Amino acid sequence: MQLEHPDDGEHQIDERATGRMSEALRRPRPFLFGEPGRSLYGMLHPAVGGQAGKPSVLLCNPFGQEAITAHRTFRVLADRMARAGHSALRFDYYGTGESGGEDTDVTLAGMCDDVETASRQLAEETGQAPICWIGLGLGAMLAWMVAARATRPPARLLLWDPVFDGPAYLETLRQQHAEACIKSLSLPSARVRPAGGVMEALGFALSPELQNDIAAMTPERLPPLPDQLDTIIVAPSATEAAGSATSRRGLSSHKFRPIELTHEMSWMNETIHDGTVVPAAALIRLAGLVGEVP
Amino acid sequence: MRERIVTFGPEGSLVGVLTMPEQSRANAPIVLMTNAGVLPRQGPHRLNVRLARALAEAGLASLRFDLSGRGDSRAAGAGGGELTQAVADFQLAMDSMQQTAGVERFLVFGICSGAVGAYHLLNTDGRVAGAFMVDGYAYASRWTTPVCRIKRAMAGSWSDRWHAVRRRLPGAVAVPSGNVTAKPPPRAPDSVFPNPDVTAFRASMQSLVNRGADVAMVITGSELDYYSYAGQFRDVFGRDAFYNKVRCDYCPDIDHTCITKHAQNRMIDLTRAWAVAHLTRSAAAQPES
Repeated sequence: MQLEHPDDGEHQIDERATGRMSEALRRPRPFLFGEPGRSLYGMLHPAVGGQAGKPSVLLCNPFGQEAITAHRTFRVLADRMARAGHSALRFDYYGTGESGGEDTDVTLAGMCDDVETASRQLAEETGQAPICWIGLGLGAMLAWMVAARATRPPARLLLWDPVFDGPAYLETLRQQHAEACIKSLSLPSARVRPAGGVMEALGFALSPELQNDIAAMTPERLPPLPDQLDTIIVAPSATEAAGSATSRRGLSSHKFRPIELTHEMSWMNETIHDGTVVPAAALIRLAGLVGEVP
Repeated sequence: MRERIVTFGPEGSLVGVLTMPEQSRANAPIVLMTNAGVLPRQGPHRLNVRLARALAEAGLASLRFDLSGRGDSRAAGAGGGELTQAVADFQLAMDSMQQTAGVERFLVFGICSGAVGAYHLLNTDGRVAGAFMVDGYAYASRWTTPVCRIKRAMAGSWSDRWHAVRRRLPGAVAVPSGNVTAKPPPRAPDSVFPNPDVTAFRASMQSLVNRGADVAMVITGSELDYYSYAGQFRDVFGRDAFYNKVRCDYCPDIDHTCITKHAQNRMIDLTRAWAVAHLTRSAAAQPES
């Protein structure tokens, strides 16, 4: 499979002709990036307005159905960041969303590599390394793991509704999948069991390797973070999570800033039309936290 | 297979991905796909991405794109109805593909609100040669509700069945029903996009068949309250002239959003087979040069 970068369409030529190219460049722009054979889809929201030029922000998707539910949320957050002067990049890991690959290609190590690739790409696009990484759900833990090993980590890590306990997360996925099957299929007799080896979770397959990766993701095994990294945990029980994290060996000296934040979103929500589409109040709070970065 | 990001429409506000086969079939239409409800263009559980790549393997190009204001596309400036805007966005997509790829015929695949949009596009624009509509408009027969009740009763445990009987006895005490037999909430599209009057639906289907459009419908197991058995379409429209020219499959093993891999694979197989069969029929209908 080959993914190509977009060529100039006629509408873009028209824009050049009418002198509106600079305006077009400030609009959110879809593009493909990454290594050959591991093409990633990204959406760059360039900073706009008088405050443009502030450090950029990288958004790290959650996993599976949660990424679909959070798509609108991340788009609105990226737009807010851009209007506040921070260019923002949201992207799909390999094997997810609009990127190349199948969901059975997804591994934790691969997703971590994609976070690094996206951070480099954002630096290339904006001329400066992103100052803040925002990760949601499993994406928060990917951001953590990459920040722990990065030669140039961001100044701030914003962990939103993070998944600290991999085995518990897998169990929640299993339960939610079973409930969604019963609700969606109307009749239990119509259920079809998944093939062996692969776990199905709310419409997405988890390869045995990814299951093992997530099962091994426990607070005890998380790598220590650089001391200077400003790490904010944003979750309904953030204080408890921060206390739990600092009790781990190797993390006792790290300062976590807990922000208790509840919202009306259910990221694993399977129903298309039900519920809130974007947690507006939560996004205002998150945007404010990014804005604090000097 | 190659994939390319395309932007089109006013100031390039609409975003999509064009998936092209290594070797296209001659005179093949492009298959259009878009959002199901508020989901981004990748579709429920990324179904549209997988379908696009499966179609490419079969030699068919496809364009999946976000309607105005959804997914990665920016909102349209002027306010119109949701369906009017959807049809206008589809037409911009077709204009773009006509100009850049020289393709003049299109097929449309849609789920839920996407199926409703496909129906209206098919009735509006002659460039659309066919539509594959999943859980779009459906009409109940007099047997729909009785069959639904029987299926629900049969699906429950003996305890559930006994309680169901008890609830109908005179002076019955309310007994909570189990999850299995609980009636699901009404399907949202019915409230958002009510069925057209059946007479109007009949007329439009006949018109579509008369112009040679390839109309296929799939009703999933999630629609049990509205479509409960394989012969329902026949019972409602069996005497209409268009009946034998329109395909309507009842698939109780597939759910509305294709939450299982089995459902996704079945949906992809059904859609790909329909699109390839359309090509075969079109080729057979072409006069020999």
